[in-house]
Amino acid sequence: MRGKPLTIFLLMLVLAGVGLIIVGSATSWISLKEFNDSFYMLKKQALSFLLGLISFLILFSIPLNTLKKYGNWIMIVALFLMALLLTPFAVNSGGSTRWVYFSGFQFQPSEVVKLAAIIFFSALFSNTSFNRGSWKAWAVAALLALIPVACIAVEPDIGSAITILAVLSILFFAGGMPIKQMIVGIPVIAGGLAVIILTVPYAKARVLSFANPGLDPLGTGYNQIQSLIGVKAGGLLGRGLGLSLQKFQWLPQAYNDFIFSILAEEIGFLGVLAVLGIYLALVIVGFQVGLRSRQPFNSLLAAGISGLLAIQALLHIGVSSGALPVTGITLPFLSYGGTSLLISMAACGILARIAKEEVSAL
Amino acid sequence: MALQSPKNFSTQKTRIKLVLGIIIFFFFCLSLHLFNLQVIQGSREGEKVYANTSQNVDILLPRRGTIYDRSGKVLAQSVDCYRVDIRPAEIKPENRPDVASKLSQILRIPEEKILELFAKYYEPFPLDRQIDSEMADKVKSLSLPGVDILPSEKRVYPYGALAAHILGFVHPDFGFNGREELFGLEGIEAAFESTLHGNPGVVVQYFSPIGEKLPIPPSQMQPVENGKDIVLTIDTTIQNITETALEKAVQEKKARSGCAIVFDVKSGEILALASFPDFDPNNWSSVKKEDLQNVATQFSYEPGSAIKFVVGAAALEEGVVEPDTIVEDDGPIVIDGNIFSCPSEFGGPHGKQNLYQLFKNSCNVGFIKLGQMLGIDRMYKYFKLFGFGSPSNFELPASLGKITPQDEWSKSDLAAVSFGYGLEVTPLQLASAFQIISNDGKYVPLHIVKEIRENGKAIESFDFTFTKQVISKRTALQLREALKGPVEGKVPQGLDQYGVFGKTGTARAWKDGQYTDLNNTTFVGAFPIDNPRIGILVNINEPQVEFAYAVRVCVPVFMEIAAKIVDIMRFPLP
Repeated sequence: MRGKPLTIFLLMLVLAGVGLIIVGSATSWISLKEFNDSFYMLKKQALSFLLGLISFLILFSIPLNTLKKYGNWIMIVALFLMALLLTPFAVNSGGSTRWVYFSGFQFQPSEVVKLAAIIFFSALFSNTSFNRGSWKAWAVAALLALIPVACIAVEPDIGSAITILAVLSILFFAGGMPIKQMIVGIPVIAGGLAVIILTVPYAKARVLSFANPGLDPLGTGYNQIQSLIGVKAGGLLGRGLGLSLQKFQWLPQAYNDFIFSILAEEIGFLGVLAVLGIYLALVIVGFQVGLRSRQPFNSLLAAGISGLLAIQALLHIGVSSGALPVTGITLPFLSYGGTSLLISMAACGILARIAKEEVSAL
Repeated sequence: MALQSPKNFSTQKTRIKLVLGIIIFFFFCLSLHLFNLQVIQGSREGEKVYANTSQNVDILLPRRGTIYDRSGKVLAQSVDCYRVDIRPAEIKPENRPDVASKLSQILRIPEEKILELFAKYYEPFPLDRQIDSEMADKVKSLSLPGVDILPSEKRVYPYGALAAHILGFVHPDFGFNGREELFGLEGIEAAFESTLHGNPGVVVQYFSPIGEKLPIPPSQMQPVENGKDIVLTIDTTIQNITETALEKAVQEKKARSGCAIVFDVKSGEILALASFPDFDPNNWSSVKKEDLQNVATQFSYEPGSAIKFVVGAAALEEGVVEPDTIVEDDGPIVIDGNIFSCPSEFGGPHGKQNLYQLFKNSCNVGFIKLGQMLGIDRMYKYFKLFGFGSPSNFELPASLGKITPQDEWSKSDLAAVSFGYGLEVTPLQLASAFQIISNDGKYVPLHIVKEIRENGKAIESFDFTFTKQVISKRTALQLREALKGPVEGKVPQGLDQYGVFGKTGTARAWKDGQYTDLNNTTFVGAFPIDNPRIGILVNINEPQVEFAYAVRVCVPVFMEIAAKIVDIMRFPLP
């Protein structure tokens, strides 16, 4: 590995390294209390990191044509995993069913679906038989896109649903959707979102408490208020690694959906700016790799993957810093959670592969 | 698989660039948003953002300073104890009888009283401020909701009523951050409140939402500063002797009040200061207001003849008389229609007398003549020089006394002042004036605080060696010889070899705008005459016995105290 693939690999390693450090800090108290070992959750995350490295290498070694060829199957397998949520293997936690538990091993199918959908739609839109001029083709694509979005939305996991919706929107846009179709499509998406927010009670409550967190400070507004406390307390330089106060269960999900708040509290604005810079660098490199590619599939795939990382980061940080309504989105590489880390690293493997294939094609 | 048309592919790349641009823009916006939150808002709010959450500010109350006597005996001390606070709103009405019964058993407070308090208060209130750790543990073990055990402080005065007027007492009040603290209300406790009190410390402790202490070291925002200790000039043994003698006399003579001051004439240190009636500072809440008056410093009265030593000092210092100058009392003097005389029951008219005889007879007419020889200006000057009618820097609250402004003195006033009427003094002022005579004319302020200590080390000492020569040594020596007159034949055996000198004073008590039939009696004296060391003032007011004169009421008290001091201090014979 050298050049762009190496750059991608190193940026990924730095982010995952920051992730392990901050997960270690954010989980130590809860690990000690729940498992009597303050490193318990960190060890699990480190194991996921190793698995992530393996999946990076595996995907780095798979030719892109193969991915394109099996795009349909990948999507089908991902949806099959989603379907496991309807079986007794599913774990219900906090009112939603997002995890599949399988002989000591727990994972989140929606994370797989995100990547699978990007591969599937990149393949679809780069297929010469896809007729961009036809309303029908776009309508079919939109219906296909609705499947993963809807599956995730009903878990319910509005955050992931919105993420995948946003990524697929990028792919639809980059994939060449004509202006006319967009004029019809955008209001449909916006309308769909509005319906979800108005009909799903918890989504509605979160939007309302976003507008006014003080409305219910111990209920729906609680996470937002506690998250903001952490972010503000970080100040310019932070309280120091390991010195977050909010991680002591003041901020629920501190190690997961609000890990950024703990990061901001411990390393401050300058540290956060550095981490944001690394994210942006990875995203820009990812997009560049795609833009240099001569293959429309590779180019779309790179944009989709980079877009996914960017969107997750923006949404997670936006939520943690009170700029967006509360919705559970993991921060790629940093949040505690094996599936998220593994998939993010696998996605980087694909990006590195795209870069490699371009270099070898020259 | 064929490639897409180049046109489509270039559109795709343009659109991807646009998407990237939008993403970069969002990253930029988010950075600005975070800058605002963390740097601008964060630095403004600082640690305060944690308020009401993980941070719990703990107030460390300072330990109040100890008050010692001159030899290091503890006169007032704070000890740790506990208090029981009740939050009535958190005790359900149906549980109240049960809670009251349990608390009643441990705290020994009647159950009905507790129930009454539960009903009376809505806000939290202290049920008992001073319980020991054993009781506190018992209450704690009940883990009653709405009943809190908090650390508290108790002020202990090991000698009870001894030196009560000097020490004063403390009482609880709202202090730092609304926490209850003890504040001095009387005496040294009040006068040296800021020295004794100390400053509370602020410690920030960190807790989880369910109240677990977090593994984060508490940050001390403000260290606690304990109160400083005060060492008094008081000698507990002499104080005890003085109080015993005074109290006995006041009671035997059925007097209203009295005081006694024992002082070192050279250093100005007060060795004992007693005032009666007294009180027990341990149990101050039952003290009557009139008992709180420190007679020695706050009682302002017409001293009568006791003032004559000041007139004598002025006359000698100004050279208007010598010790052997003959002053004649040839009967009543009429000034501006007022008749002044020495009544026959006091042996008047006294005829021809030298200074010694003038003092021995306490001859009013004679001293009026001395006053007239001095004139208003010189008399006024010496009264001011001796400290009458002026504010003093004494450590305890003290009255000013009262002296008519110089330009308002009439000839009658001059005559009245010459034998101790028409002006008001405090016993402390008289003692202070007598210190000058006893210390060869050198004024050293009488004082009661010797040292302020911090962690056992003196940080401030009050040593006054020499401050002001008020009258010449010659005058002081001559006057001392003459002042042997008033106690001639009154000094008990043993003490007489040291030579005691002093002046009695008996004056009508003034009440409700007129003189009563009762007397205020005073004796101020010192010994040994050749090299005076100890001065004692005894003042007993309104004794209701026959012959209620200073020589009968106060002089015996003086002699009793003096004899015991000679014993204790093992005075070398002259």
